[in-house]
Amino acid sequence: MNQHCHQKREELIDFVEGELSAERTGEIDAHLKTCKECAAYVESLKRTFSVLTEDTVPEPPPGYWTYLPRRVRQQAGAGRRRRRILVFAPGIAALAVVLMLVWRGTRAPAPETTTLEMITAELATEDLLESVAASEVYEVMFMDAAAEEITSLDQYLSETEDIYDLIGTLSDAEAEAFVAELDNLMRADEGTSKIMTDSPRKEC
Amino acid sequence: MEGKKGNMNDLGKRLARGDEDAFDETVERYSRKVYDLCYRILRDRGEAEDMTQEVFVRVYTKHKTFKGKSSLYTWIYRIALNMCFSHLKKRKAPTVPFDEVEGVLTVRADDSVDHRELEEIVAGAVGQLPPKQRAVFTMRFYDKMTFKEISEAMGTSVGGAKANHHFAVERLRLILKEADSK
Repeated sequence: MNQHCHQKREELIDFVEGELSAERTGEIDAHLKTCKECAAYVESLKRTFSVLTEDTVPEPPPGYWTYLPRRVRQQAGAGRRRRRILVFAPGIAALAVVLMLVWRGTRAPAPETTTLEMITAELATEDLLESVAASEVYEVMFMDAAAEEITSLDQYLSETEDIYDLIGTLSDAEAEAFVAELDNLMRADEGTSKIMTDSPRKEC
Repeated sequence: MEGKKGNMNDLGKRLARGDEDAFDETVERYSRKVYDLCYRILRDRGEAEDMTQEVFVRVYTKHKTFKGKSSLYTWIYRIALNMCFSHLKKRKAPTVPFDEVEGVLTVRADDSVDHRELEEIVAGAVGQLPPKQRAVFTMRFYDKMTFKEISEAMGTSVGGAKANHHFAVERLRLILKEADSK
């Protein structure tokens, strides 16, 4: 390969890749018949490309492609929900505490509560918080979330020990009344959802 | 590369508007290509699977940033390349020892050699390339992309993409030739 040919190496790669015009391809074809070095170089390129076609990509496991969009949405959604929860959770917790304080302020002190009542009240509070969080007012979209994705809220709730401590100080009667109030709230919320669902769509 | 450019632009516009169907169509159309690209750069199936998912999570969450200045295809490829390069920097991928590339051209002529073994040898040769040359070579050789498309995906000039490709081809040729002479 003389110096002139050496400058054309890039073009020889294009030649092997079939990227040149028909005219230029013909010229190089003619050149290869007279230049052994260029012919050897082109042959070497062809063998290299031929071998490289053997570099195949392994197939992902069955179901990978089918469930890819769903996994992407779950992952993207989990990130969004996590961010929304971080934004709204303190507000929700604060709202619950305020509700509790207001409610307690309207009632006289009473004897200590039982463990069962405390647990019931805690669970009811948790339900309320989840219910509030799920409401359209806060636009937190838990309804379509996978169960494991709600664990981030559960983790947050488990950290709100002050709310649970507050519940722990309730008397039997207070706890009973509180649970009844929560039931009413949840029923009201369900009623609102039902009304929204049942609302007739506006005809065009 | 993109035969139905009108449809492609339309898909990009719909995706940018947050159309969920457009996202499904985008995944269906490009996920395989993205996976192949990720695998050829990362050389690890599990990492390529994870990376493909990460790429489409980025596409899903950042769809509004697609302005249509490049094609949707090269926009997605650019996301994939950036994420792969970033991943490689973190993991400091061990390169395949040169000895494993030995005898590849002879192996090619010998039909008795296991096909899988040949694949591993070739993978070793490709693995010798620096990541950017590997990426350019992959897009050019396996995806048949034009240098303009490659330059858009890489964020480089057309000349830069072409030079990288020629370096990659020449380097692969020398690696395989050297290996064959052992």
